[in-house]
Amino acid sequence: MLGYFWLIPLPVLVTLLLTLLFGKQLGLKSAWLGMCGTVLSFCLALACAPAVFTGESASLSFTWFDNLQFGFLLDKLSLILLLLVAFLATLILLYAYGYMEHESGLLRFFAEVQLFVFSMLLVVLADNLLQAFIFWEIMGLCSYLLIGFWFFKPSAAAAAKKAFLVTRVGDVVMLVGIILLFDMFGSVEYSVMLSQAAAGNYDEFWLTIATLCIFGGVIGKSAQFPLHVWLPDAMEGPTPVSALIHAATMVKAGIYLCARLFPLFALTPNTADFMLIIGTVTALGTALMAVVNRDFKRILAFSTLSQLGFMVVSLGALNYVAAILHLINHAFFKALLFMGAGSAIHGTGTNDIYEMGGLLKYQKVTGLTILCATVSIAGLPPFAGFWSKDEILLAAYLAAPPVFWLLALTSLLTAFYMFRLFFVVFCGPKRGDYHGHESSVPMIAPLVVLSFFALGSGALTQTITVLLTGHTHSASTHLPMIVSIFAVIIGIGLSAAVYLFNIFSADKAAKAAAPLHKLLLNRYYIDRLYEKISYWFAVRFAELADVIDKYVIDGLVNLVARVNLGLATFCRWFDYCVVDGLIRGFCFVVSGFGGYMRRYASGGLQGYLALVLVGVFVLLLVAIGGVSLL
Amino acid sequence: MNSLTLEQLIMLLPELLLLVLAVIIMLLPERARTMAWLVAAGGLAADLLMCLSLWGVNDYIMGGAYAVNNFAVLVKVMLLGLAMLNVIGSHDFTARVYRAREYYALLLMAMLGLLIIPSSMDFITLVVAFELVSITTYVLPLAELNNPQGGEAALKYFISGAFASALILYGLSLLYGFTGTMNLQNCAQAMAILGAHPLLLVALVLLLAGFGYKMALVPFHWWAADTYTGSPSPTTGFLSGVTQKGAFVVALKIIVVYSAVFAPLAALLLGVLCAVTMTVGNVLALKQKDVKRMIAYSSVAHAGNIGVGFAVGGTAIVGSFVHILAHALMAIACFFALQIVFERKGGTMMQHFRGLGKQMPGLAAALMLLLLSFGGVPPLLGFWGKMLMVVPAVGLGGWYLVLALILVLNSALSLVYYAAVIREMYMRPAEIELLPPAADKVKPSGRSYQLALWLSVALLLAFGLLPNWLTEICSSALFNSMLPW
Repeated sequence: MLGYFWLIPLPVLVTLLLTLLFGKQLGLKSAWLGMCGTVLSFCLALACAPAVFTGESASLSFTWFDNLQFGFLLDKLSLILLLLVAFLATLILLYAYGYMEHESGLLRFFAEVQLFVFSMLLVVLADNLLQAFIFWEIMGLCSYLLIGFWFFKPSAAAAAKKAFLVTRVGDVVMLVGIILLFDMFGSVEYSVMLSQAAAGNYDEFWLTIATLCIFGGVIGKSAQFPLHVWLPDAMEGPTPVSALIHAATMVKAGIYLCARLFPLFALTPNTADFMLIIGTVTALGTALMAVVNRDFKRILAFSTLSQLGFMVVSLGALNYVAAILHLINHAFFKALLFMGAGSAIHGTGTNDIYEMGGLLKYQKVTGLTILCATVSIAGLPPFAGFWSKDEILLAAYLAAPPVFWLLALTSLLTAFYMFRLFFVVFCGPKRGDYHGHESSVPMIAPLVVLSFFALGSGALTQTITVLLTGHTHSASTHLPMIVSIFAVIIGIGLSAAVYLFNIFSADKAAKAAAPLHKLLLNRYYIDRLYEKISYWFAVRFAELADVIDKYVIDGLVNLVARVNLGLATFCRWFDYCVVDGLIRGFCFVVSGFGGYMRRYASGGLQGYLALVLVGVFVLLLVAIGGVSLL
Repeated sequence: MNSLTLEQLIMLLPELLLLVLAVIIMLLPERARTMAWLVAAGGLAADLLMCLSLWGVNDYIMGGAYAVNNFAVLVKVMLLGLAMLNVIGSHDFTARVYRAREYYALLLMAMLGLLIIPSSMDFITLVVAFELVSITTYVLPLAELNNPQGGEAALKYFISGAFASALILYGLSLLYGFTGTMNLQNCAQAMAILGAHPLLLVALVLLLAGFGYKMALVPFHWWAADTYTGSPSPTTGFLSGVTQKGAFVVALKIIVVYSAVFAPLAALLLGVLCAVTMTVGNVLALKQKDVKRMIAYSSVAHAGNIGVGFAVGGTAIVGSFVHILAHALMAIACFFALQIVFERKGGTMMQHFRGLGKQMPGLAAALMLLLLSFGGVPPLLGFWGKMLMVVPAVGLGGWYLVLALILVLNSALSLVYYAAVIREMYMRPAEIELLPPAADKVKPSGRSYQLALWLSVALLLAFGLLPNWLTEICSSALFNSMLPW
């Protein structure tokens, strides 16, 4: 089976083509077609699992041209990701079947989702950076198209554009990094690069620059500070898309790539330190924003940013296993949260959590599954989120204690805002005027399935650690675990006190810290700063262009015109006297020659042959001349 | 030594099969056009497989006059494949000509000659095979009896060809007089002893001129434009895509014979010829209003391109072979495309191409790809051949650099007129209505043209995207068997 591992993405490609062919007739049923593809891919990946998890790995590569390969690589890391992506894609397609019921443009939707899944599988399977980059870009394209699915809404169109342009900044930097690595190692194949680096064939300065550039791409795609601005706006897309692309899979591609190239990052401590800082800033800064936001999906988006920050910290602390563990757990509970959010929004018709309230009465399944995800993401032991977060905190503690304390504060905030979300939406009185009802079965079924994973995937912690590192992990200190449990309990308690029992009023707190509140609501003004800066540059550039146009170009044009005029006058004279004379003379000669030739070459063919003889004669002269020179 | 054993006969099976097939086709009833087509296409396919099975054999038979090695097999397989493409497309053409059987039988006989050329190690065999190709193809433009242009094309081709044969034989007689042998290897050895005698050079010039005829190098190209334009398009495809390529193999053999003593001078002569050919061909094509004539002149220019690789030598010869394949595929496909336009719009002048992008989107897309490949736009195969010639030429420096520069400039120049056709197809509204596709017996729908066209385009794209495979096979075949004999 392992020999045929490259077949894994194929079913998705086939169903994508079938969707393109028959999507018009199938309509909503394209979802089932797509699910066939992802289920088949999942089964194929599962069939490879026994061999891969016992230590085998498979690769298939052929030369594209020159030194560039096109190939696939299946090992433990990529297989885990493949299983995760195929599994979540299946559930989300099922969910979309329910969610997209009343939409038009379904062919477009399902084709784009399947193209996304296909390219994500290929990013994971790629055995070299260039190929990964190609499909990474296709993922970016799909993300752009799907965020702008409702392109007739100006906000959606703007969000799509923003996502595309902001990630492009990271991608360009990453391409520079790839070129640098190619220059350094002569290949962009993972195995070649890593073995060369292990053998010490590198220059530390340039390797640092290259890894920083690669991390630049990760900053874009995984939405880290300062390029995090696109992700909250990306929530303009349909909810299944937010769940699949902007929570569970695409934004994790950056983490996966870092894990792939982990030995390179391990060799460059400066880059690792940079990752620690960026990850911490993102985790804490976005968690604070999540506390004050009122939009259901945006809160989740900020929370995604914050959790991605945790993963980056873990990479920076040189513990990629913890990052992968958190990646898996987060994929489960965040997909669940988004799909639950979609269900709640579907039921109430609003995104504002303060217009929901008391929803548990109407949507028992949605509410309870969201509660499962909430306890998991908050990090309450013994649920999934707790285990991986504990690993990350421990890694941070060992790497840099200040980072650990900041992250502990972040996990307090995480527990606080997640339970705030839950209490405001599902508990308390009904605030908005909605006719609550539970969503349809295709939307609920994935929620139930995922809630088991959200609660229980922590049980996989040891297994995956052993798979990836080969030995079990034992904590050297229990301080981080104790601190994090306390932080979570304080966070939940505070949240309950404010939003469930109303002991303190949230509004008063907001008023007391009005400047901070305003700063957070406006997302630290970073978005506006970017707008201002780009606006300033655009205006200055336009002014500069104007000046150049007025003085330099116009001056040049005038000069050219004047010179031309002079030249034209001269040419006129030259034309009349010299050229025409020459032409008349030439015509006279040619026509004379033609007439002369015509006498001999009446049919044409004879003329041809005569010319050939002339040619042979000239060649002979050249040849003889050449010999005499030799 | 001169007796032929049964084992050696097996190596001649591809050639014998063609002979038998040609006879079988002539024995078919006159109306059995599809049958003749099937026999020809199937026979060529079987022949191709037989040739492929000879890959790896390295042997001389018939007293050293006939070699079977990887070089010969590569050329044979290439030419057979191209001829097969041409035959596949010709079905709808022969469905309405009077002499379908003769068309296919002559085509197969020409292929017989083309199979002997790469194997022959003896000037007599070489010339006889070459004459076999020439004489059979003189008749091919006459396939459409009611087309007066065909007669003119055939006659011009014939007379020019006879003239070329005279030049070749004169050159050979000089060569024989000096070296006393007709065997290629012995000839080269004799030359090494004799040294650079001017009369040997005269012989070279005469041979180059004679074979330059078939390669359509300037100033021996005069017949090409008339013949290519006057012949029906499927025949033109065969002439410019298959038989013309045979002449390049002969030229390569002669260059190799001369390379021992006259290496820089022979290369210089060929280089000058090629530079002139490219420039003149492109300049003449630039002003043509008839697209068929434009492509005919562009074939002349491409012949110059191919020759550049031979002049540069070394790894550039691989580039030449890639370009031979590329141009043959492009020419065959392009002339089929022109035939479709001719049948559906009544002509091949520029105005017939106006608005073709809307009227026949599939055909226009294929034609655009072909034209871009002609112009050498990556990633189509037309690009790789030129690149593989230019890179070694630049590496050698000196006047080779000038030659490379002329090639690149000519590529840019040629894009002007190729792009003009694309502009007509996509940017201008249509002026001439499409004729309905008549699917009766007299005028079939042109499906076989489409099939051959798309097969060629697919091959161009496939080889263009994965050039490594092709270049590796070419270089292994060339450097393992041809150059050290």
